[in-house]
Amino acid sequence: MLLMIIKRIKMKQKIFFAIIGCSLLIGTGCKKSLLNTAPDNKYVESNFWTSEAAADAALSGCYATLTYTGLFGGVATPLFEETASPNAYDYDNSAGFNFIAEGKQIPSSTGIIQSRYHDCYTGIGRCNTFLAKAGDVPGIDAATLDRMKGEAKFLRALYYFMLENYYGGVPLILDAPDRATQANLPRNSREEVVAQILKDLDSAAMVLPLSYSGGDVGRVTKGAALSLKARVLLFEASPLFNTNNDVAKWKTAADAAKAVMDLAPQAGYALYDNYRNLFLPQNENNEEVIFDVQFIYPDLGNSFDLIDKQYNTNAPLLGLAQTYDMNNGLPITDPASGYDPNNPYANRDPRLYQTIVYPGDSFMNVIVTPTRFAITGFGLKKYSIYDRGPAPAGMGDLKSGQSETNYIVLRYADILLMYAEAQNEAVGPDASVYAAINAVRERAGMPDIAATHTQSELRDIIRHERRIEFAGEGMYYNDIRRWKTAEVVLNAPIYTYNESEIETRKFDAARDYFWPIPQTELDLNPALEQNPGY
Amino acid sequence: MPLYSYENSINLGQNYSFGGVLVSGAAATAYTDPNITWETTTTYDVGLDADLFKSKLSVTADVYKKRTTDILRTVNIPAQIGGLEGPQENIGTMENTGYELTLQYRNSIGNFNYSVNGSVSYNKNRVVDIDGQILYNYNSNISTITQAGYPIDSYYLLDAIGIFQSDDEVQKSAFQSNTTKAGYIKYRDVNGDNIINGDDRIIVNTSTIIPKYTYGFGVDMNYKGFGLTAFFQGVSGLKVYPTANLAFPFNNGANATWEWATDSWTPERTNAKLPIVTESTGGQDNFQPSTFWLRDGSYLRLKNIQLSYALPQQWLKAAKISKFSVFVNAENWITFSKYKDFDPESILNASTLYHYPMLKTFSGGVQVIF
Repeated sequence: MLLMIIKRIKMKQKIFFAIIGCSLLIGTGCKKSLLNTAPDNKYVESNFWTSEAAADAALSGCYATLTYTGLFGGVATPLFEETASPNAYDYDNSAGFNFIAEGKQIPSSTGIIQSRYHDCYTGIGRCNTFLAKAGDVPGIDAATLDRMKGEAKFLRALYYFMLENYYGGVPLILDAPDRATQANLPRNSREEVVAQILKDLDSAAMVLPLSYSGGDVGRVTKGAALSLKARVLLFEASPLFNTNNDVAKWKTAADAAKAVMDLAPQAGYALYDNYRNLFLPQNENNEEVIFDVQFIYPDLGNSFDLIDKQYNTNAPLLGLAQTYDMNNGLPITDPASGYDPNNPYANRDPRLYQTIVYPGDSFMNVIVTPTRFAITGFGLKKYSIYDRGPAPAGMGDLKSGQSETNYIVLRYADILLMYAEAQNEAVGPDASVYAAINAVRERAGMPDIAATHTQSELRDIIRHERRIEFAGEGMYYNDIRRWKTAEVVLNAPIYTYNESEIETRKFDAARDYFWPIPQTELDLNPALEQNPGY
Repeated sequence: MPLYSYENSINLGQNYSFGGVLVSGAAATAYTDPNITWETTTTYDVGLDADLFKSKLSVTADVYKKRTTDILRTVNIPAQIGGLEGPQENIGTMENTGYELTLQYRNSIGNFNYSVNGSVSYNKNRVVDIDGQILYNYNSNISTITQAGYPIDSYYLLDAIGIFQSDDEVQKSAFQSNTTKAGYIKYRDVNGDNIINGDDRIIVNTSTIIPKYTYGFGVDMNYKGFGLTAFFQGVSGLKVYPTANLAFPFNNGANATWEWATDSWTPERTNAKLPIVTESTGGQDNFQPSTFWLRDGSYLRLKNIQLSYALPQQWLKAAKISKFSVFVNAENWITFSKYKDFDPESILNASTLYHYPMLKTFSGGVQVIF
């Protein structure tokens, strides 16, 4: 008897959940049939794809991967990525980036080498499923369906870019996950993967809108697709990938960046007037942001503030601090610059004060001692809400997962500097190159670069500008890879604020430009070939 | 086996935010094998029960062969299949063969009664056929392989062949990593390609969790009011792989055990048991899964011993007490094992050592019944 009652309650619950489920998400599709054996208490592939709301949810699932550890989320993956470059140091080897900085990564390394590979394919699998199924969902109008597919194609392109860029060629899979046909696929060439990325971005750019409003802000736009295309093509034109320096590739990259600049008036892209405030949560999705990862507290937070303020596991290095010029535009090594070694942080590029916390500075209303940020003496304030003044009321101690500042994947300043770099390589230092780089400098409050430089001089100036403009954002590691300068700048000692050496890093040019395919993947699919040297 | 296991589930909770508002997202997170079925076990068992010498000696013996077909197991699949968790799958056939033997002998000589008992069981596990597959399992930091002809979840490790004694020796050996130097563990270049990587792992032909032998023996004797019982138990034919804080130094910011101070390699202490002290977080270099850290998990333990004395009845009658006895008891008092770093009994399935060991308990008591 008791058993029967329990059974009854269970049945009731099941029906109850089924009703909630159906009314919330599916809307229709709850037709009962005697021979229909689909479960009524959970979604499976066969009963899920029945409404636009379901397709929406599946598309959100494609975005959700962006917040994973292997991509731009986790604790603070993009901030940790900076520590694989000469800009910063992580004493705690968060996500394994410090091992990469030291050239110690191996196929069985845990951390980002495993998670990036895995999480990218998670996103790709979701996009592939969406692209395979969304067309069969009844009741979506054609324009909406096109837009949604465009979003999924952009995301798939982004995930594949994050694979080919770090690992080289990977298995190129475009169908919904299927073990029978996909488990033993070998790596495609990197070029094949790149071709597919560009194809997806082109077709996404054709159908995506210029902007969204209200509850759709944060979705992929046409500008995002064109901007990612520009980045992919810039990487393809760079020395690491463009081994025989084919100038045509630089031209293609310059054109792709120019396409975004041409779109700027329509799409509303511009440099945000304040470099520091560009990264604050209250200014999210501003005119400079082309694509960002949307975090929200409490459900989808990151730990950017905790890392910047307390853990200091992305401690800026002396080398970065010394790279900031004086605010008169001269490097600190120039005798005419006015640099005072006894007062090293006076009269520098304003972005120094908007990016780094240094000894003698003020942070959260307290004077910064050399032990406040004990690892190198420096802290990072970019991507944190904390600054010189007191913390915003009630937010003085944000803990793990409590930050909701979006991470900007693509911003307009990057487009301008991409263009400057590619155009300088393609045609040399013309007026448009100076205009692009000087726009970025003017926003920062730095004097213009005079139009008197050779192509080679300007190349160094642009590289320097990128290092400063994007410091702390996890971009420099990829820049030194694609410029093939990592073998120089990552084969060097790193220092604290008072020139005490922390360690000497190592970089093997024959091996370390690409990450190893994770050992678990080689085990599970013997058709995969390892990268050279591992 | 969960219901509807023949189709991929779509899970809610894969959320994202647009326009500052959380929106619900959904995605499949695990792969499903539509063809799974229950596993089947066929057991052949020959047994013997005998009471001999007027029931003084009893013998129980069993010889068995257990063949499990369609073993149901969660397998890992390559990330390229949508980054999905692997399905439960019928992987193949496994065989356990072994015997169990229990003996008990009871006798008395005058007022002295005693019994001695002992049991031993032997089990051999072998994967017969898994359709040519090789299954890997990286769970709990232990690297294992499951392959036909070997025990299920055999260790799959780099073969440690000593400690580098000089940087010159490092130079002349296969490349391990750019940090390798004197004092680091030296691995064997199994395939001879001059680089140490996953291709140099070897199968250690012993299961990670199932001991070959388990045994126990005990005595129970009494003389007049005195009683003594003791019970020993043990296992052998088992390797354990301790990891994490108690085995490795400075793991995740923890400290190191004392022997890292006294018995680790230094240029002056070249015959040390442990390699040079390095930080172990991240599991690289010396802390890659290798035979260096494999330990013999065999042990013999005095699980319980009790000595008791009951006062003779005639002394108690005057006090109108029907029974008065005292006892002392010890549990887990003595352990014989080559493995000294942790409780060998509780390490079997928990190599991280993040748990409580078995307690040694001493107790004594008085029992009075009126």
